[in-house]
Amino acid sequence: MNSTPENNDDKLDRLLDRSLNSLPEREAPKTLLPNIMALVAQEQESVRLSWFVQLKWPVVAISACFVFLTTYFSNDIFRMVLGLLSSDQFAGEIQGVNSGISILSTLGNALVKVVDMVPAPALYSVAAALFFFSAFSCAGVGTVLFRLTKGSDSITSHNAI
Amino acid sequence: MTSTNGFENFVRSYQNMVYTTAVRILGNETDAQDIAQEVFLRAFKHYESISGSETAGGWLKTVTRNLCINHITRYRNRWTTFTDQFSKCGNEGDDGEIVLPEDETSNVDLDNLDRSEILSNALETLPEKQRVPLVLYHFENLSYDEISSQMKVSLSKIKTDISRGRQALKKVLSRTMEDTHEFNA
Repeated sequence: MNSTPENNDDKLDRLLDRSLNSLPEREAPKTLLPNIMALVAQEQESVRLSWFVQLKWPVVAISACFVFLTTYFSNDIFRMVLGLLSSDQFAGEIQGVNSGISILSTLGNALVKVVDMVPAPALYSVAAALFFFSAFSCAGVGTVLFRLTKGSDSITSHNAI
Repeated sequence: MTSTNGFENFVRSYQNMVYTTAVRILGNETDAQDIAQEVFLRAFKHYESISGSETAGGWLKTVTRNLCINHITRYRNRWTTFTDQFSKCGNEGDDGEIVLPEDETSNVDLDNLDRSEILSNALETLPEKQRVPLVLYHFENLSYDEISSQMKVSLSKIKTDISRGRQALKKVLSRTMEDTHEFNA
């Protein structure tokens, strides 16, 4: 029986499909299993560590968190330093050196007096609330940045189960 | 706590399947090993939910496929600028011709090589743009549309690439047939 080029092509097509379907699985390298188990052991070890040691935030997230924290608390730190400097011991010298600082120290004094007027429990509550708010804000910002930087790696196939 | 022994058996059961899928898509054994490790590490994290599931194999296959496509896409993006430059420098006909894999088998005694091994090698040495859609179509049973959306490549390009990949494989196949005198018998 004569075989035309078209017949040959059809035969080849069918043969290719059959051959592709019957391709056997490749054997995984011998090193794969030990490597996986080593990674798993490492993973188990890291689970035993404290949560803050486990945190593996990207540098961008850590930097952003640091900048955020510094910016947020710099105002409090500045006020605290100002409050110390505005005590009687230093006030005269500072006023003599710089009138600008004098104005700031006066403002600082005023702030300290206002703060003094607030009852201690309320003050501590506000301080604690501010602290937790800051901490959660940082954690939130960090998590968002972490998700953004790691977003491209995420797989949606978990729902396959 | 997840049982390490149980997980080891789980890996033993599925490692060939995961590795084969990765090698076929990536065409590179080293990258395939890395992807397989990543897949099983993710499986370990979800081991309690997938170990008893009948769809564990499917889950592993899907994760492998997605990780491989991510890997290829990232690699492709990294080199797009370079290849664009390269094609502007006089390689414009590349898209129009069938690219055959390196003919590693033509000088080898075919009696000693199984046809499936030849085909497997030919498949892995196909150019990435032909191999990946071909593998996703034939082995992962994805439709043209699914391949197109996953690879972010137009539907017509996917069809053309699969067709060219098949033609290249058919050439390899016909060569083995001629050498073994089967085809025209």
